Amino acid sequence: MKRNKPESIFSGAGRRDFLRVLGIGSAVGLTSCSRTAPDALTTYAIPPEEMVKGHALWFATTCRECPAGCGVLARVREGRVHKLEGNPVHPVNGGGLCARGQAAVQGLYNPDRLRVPLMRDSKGALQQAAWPDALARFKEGIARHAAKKDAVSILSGATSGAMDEAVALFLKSVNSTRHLRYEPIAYESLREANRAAFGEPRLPQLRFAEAKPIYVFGADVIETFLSPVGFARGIADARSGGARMVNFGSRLSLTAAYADQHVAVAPGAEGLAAMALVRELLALGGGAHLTADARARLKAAAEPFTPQRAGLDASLVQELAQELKNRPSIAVTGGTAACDERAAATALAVNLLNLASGAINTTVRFDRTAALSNAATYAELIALGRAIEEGSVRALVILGSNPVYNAPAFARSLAKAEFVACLSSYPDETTAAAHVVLPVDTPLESWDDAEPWTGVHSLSQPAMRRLFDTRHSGEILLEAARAPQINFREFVRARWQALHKRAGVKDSFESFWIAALKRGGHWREVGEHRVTWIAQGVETKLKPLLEPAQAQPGLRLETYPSLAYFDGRSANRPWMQELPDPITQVVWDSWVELSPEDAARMGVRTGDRVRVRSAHGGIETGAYVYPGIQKGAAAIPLGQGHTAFGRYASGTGANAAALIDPAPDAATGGVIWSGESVEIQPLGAAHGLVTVAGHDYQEDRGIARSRPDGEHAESHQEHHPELSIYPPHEHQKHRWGMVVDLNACNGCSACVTACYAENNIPIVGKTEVGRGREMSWIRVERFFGPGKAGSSPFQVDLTVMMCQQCDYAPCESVCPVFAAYHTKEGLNGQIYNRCVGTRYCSNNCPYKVRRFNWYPGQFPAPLDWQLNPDVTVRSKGVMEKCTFCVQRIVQGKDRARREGRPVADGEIVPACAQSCPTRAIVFGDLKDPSSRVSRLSKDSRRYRVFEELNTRPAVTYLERTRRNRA
Amino acid sequence: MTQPPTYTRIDTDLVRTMQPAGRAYYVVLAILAAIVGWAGYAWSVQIREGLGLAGISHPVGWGVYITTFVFWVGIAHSGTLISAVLFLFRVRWRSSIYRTAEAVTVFAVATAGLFPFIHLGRPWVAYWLMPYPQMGGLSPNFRSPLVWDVFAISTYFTVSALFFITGMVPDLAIVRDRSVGWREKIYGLLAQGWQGTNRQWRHYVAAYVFLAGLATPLVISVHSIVSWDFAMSVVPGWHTTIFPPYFVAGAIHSGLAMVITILIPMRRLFSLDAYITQHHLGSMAKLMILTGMLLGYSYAIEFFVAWYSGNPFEREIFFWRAFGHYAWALWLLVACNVGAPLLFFMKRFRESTPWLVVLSLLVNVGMFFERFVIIVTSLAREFDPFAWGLYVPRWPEISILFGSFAWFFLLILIFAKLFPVVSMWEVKELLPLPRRKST
Repeated sequence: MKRNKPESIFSGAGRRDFLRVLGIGSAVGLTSCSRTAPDALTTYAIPPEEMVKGHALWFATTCRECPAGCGVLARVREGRVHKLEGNPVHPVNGGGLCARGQAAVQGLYNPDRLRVPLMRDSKGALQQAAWPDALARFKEGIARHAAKKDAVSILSGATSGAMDEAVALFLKSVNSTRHLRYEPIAYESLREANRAAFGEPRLPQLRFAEAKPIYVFGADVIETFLSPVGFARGIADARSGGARMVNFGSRLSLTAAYADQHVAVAPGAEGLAAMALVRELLALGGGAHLTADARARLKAAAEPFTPQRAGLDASLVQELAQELKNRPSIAVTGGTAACDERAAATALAVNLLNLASGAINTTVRFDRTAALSNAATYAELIALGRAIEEGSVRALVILGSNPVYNAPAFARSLAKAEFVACLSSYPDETTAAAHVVLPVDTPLESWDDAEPWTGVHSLSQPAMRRLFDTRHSGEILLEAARAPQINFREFVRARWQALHKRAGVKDSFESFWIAALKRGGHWREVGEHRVTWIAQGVETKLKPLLEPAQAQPGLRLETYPSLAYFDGRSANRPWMQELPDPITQVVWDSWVELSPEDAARMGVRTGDRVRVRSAHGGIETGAYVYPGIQKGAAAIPLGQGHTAFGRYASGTGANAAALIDPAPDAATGGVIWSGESVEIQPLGAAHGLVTVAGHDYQEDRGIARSRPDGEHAESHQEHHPELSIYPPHEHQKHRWGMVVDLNACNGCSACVTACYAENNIPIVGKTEVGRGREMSWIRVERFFGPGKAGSSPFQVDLTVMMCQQCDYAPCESVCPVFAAYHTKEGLNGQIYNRCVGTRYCSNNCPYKVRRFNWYPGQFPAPLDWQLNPDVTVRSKGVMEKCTFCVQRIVQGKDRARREGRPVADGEIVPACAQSCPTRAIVFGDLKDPSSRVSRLSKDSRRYRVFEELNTRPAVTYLERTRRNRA
Repeated sequence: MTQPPTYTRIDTDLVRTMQPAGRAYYVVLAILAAIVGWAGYAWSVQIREGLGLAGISHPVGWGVYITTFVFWVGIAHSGTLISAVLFLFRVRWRSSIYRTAEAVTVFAVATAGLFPFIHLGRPWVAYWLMPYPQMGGLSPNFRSPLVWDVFAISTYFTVSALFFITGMVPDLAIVRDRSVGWREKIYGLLAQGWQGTNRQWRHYVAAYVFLAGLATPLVISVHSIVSWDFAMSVVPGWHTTIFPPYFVAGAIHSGLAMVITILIPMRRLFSLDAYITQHHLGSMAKLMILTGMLLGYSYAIEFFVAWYSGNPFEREIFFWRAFGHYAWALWLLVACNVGAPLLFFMKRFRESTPWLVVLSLLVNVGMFFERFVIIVTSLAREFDPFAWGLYVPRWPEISILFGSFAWFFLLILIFAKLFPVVSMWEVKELLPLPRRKST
């Protein structure tokens, strides 16, 4: 039987970092077993044996910020987690970690966390309560309805693994089977289309790295789709192997910006484009792997889908279809295209394209499917709501899910429930509607396991003692169920004993367990599972695509999960609020994107306050005029507009869920997140939209360069030795440098948040960002283009900008007190406690990457516990900046010296490079000619920003190539 | 002077300015002190809360504070020009106005000198900019134009203060001789034992010429160095070789305007029409035509070079200066600094007191905005378009800006009551020698 190697389920690439993590993991095994640390979190007078003060311990665990289930290593210093890094050996993410994952520590240390249980008093107000009382009330509220079958229901997120089992045990004890795994973004249409085409209502594994052309039909693969970190890695690997990526969609999303080519199609016409490709591919003789019968069926089904129908140029379709022939490819839909009124047909069309191109069972594989496949459909949530209203469900336990915010239709039903208990770490809209609120541990304080993809058993272990008087939600359920084992660690271990038996390894369970803890889990091989096409009724199922779109009175609404807030669950992390959206660069807000034509017609400009009204509700938000969106469409990100989700998520934007049809899509059972007709009404006032982009165009200044493939760059100008009255810097041992590969960089902004976490960068809030005072040391610069305003075709260029560590640094010579100085290793050092704050260095920095502390940084407790003890917290009045994570450089050099060896290439990794899902950032020693950074900085695509200023930056960018021609 | 006054008359007239002041004087003094107090409060809040209270930000790290600093350093130039340079060139009309011009210089430098502190992120460690003996061997960075500034400004202040005090010695002796009690003692101290002997005069005049010679290069050097704060950077719009002469011309322009602005009310209040005549003011107005045209040439050359260089960054900055967000400020300053002084070509404007006041005030305003435009528009639109931004001053900056004017006029007012505002001994030099009538 053909085995599916589990090393990385998306790319299959080897792990360069494996050795590195082995060194890290050694401490993990020891510590992870000893849960006998003192209860109070104090400095260690007598530290536990494995703890050396000043040295970090690493715990391998699983990120639970979204259902993707990436592996993370939690860095712990003196008993406190303060940074998460991607686990390099984890098959889901392979070392990278997205911005939301980085912000998980701000979930742990969120100052708005629930610290005590809450109970509704006789007047109906939530009051603080003691644990025994609250638990008694919880048990009593459940027990009252346990007699009646299925009267108690559990509503959780997409759980898998131990929590799933605990829920099942609990439900069994209360005579119920109603476990609803609710995810606001559950890809019902994809599951439905997979069922219709292959009889598998599941979400398959997408092996992007093996695909040559990658065709994306509206899916936000890089932002939030299923497993964005792993997908981004896979796509970057494919692109470095020469794959061409084409996006079809009505909106130029971040994924579309990353694609070699964005083919703008009318909103909702993605399926037509996919079918036009199927038709053309078959006409070109593709699909030879299919049986003659299937091929004929497919050909017949595709016949009506001419390129004209999709509004596409016939020659373009032919060119793109030709590329699919005889090459491994992948087509994927999701995002706005997969949740409009014809989503099932669109998803089916994309399935048929994968079928015709031979991607099914090769790059699109059903042997491993996503845990999200088990998630409930929106229709099931509505059905639960109806059951509550009818009285068949009387008591509801909600586990860390926020349906009141995400599904306003369900909120109305919830109010009718007799008993609602929330097991949550944060107050939110749903806990506000509960009768009992039990504060529970965050994932970084909890034991758990998950199986995000079949066979990927990812372990969660607490990286530190619990911060507050909270409980493990699983333990609460197990206790209520009177389970024999209520210690969740033992509960997880018991499951893993079964897994150990099944795995059939020779090692004892203990060594299996410790190895799994060190590695972050256990990845087992799975058998191949091939699917075959069910041709029956394909024409009927595709029919919605052929129906002319209904003439809408207003604009067509497209909502999309935000890169920073996802479906809203990350909105209370201040880093996420302060993280500029990579496309609009807006912070702390929501917005509605309008095409320039529509905006001009309505007399709306960016920043104007507008009212958006649909048949179901209305919101007010700021307008953002975006040339990347099709005329007739209006796009709003999800995730803002919370009313009770803590200080950071309040007063920021509006909740687009208010505009959505409360009824589920009849065909898929999903939410119709897109396709609603909306009216935009200018309110004639400024909304106060804050964007960090000072200007949208790079004015041909060559900052984020891209070039069509095959066009050769003009010869690079090398520096001529220039006269200087000062001797040149001698970098005797090292000259640290960086290479940023813009073919790999997709603008996901993980590096930005990683830098906040590593370097104790304070957030400043919306008003101060509006004044230009954001503190980020590294930023994603987004330019519309190419070149100047109005040039076509419209494209989005992205780059990251951080301190370029110039050899001839303009900042250094102007500092009157040597606070900015040149280190022996070529860094532009900054001595914070020497800085007097003239800001001359910032004025003189061509890259504008120095940040001044206008006010003292605010880290309200317990957010201050996240601070990295290796990095100074800067005081007001001083300038700060990127130093390539000098603390990590020092640690790396120290380690090498202790071990009596030179620093190895790749041993020192700054936070931004570590976090990068696509490894776009490479760091190393430019003095070492064999280092990766040295070799890459001689690449033919190299360029340096503002080279003509003779600043001699240590950061080399590799120009992006756009393969927008065959 | 239609009726040449006598030596005694001069003494009497000019010492009269020092008579006890009326109520109006104290009211004005109190108002000015209150404004200074408010500005001090604003600064204290800014120190306590953080520089974020001001409007300066990223990318515009320098704003009204540095603008005001350069403005006052510029004002300080007229004094030395009138007293030292014109003295060396033996320009006679300077005699009756140089004392006031010197006071303007000293007080303007004293005002300007506050701003480098006010704009610092951590003013409490401002002394780190000085090369003082320090155990750790830390020294300031002598490559930084800001350190050059420290020396340029402190040297200029020292020399102009010395020149100011030295020039007053014979007059202070006159005041001493007309005072009684403790006043006599203090003025006596300041007069340094001046007796007016031949020997003293000989040494005095030699010393005065020497100090004038010492001060003259400073007129050029101080503002050249201040301009290097900008010219030595890489910022497009700053990084240009024209800055030193351009800044010196601008400084003299603004200085002359400020001296006229002060002299006219002073002449009125102290009835000094016999000493400060229309001829003096007219001469300064003529000088302003020259400096105004020099500035006009500099402005034009800046734009020309930006275009001619082909440098896209320079071109963008200057195009934006002329037509962008702050274009109003540019056209305002061109009108005030270049346009307004051209009216002085016509005698009607040169000899009309109201016009002199209006036009010199306009030049003052224009020179403030000149520095504002240079500093702000260049920083706002540097190399990286993503980091472009705007600047809007906020209340501490506005308060401290007005506070600086109040502080300056407060010093001038106090000076006017405590010291002779017109040089008695030099005005006497202008008189025909008194002789016995020959029989």
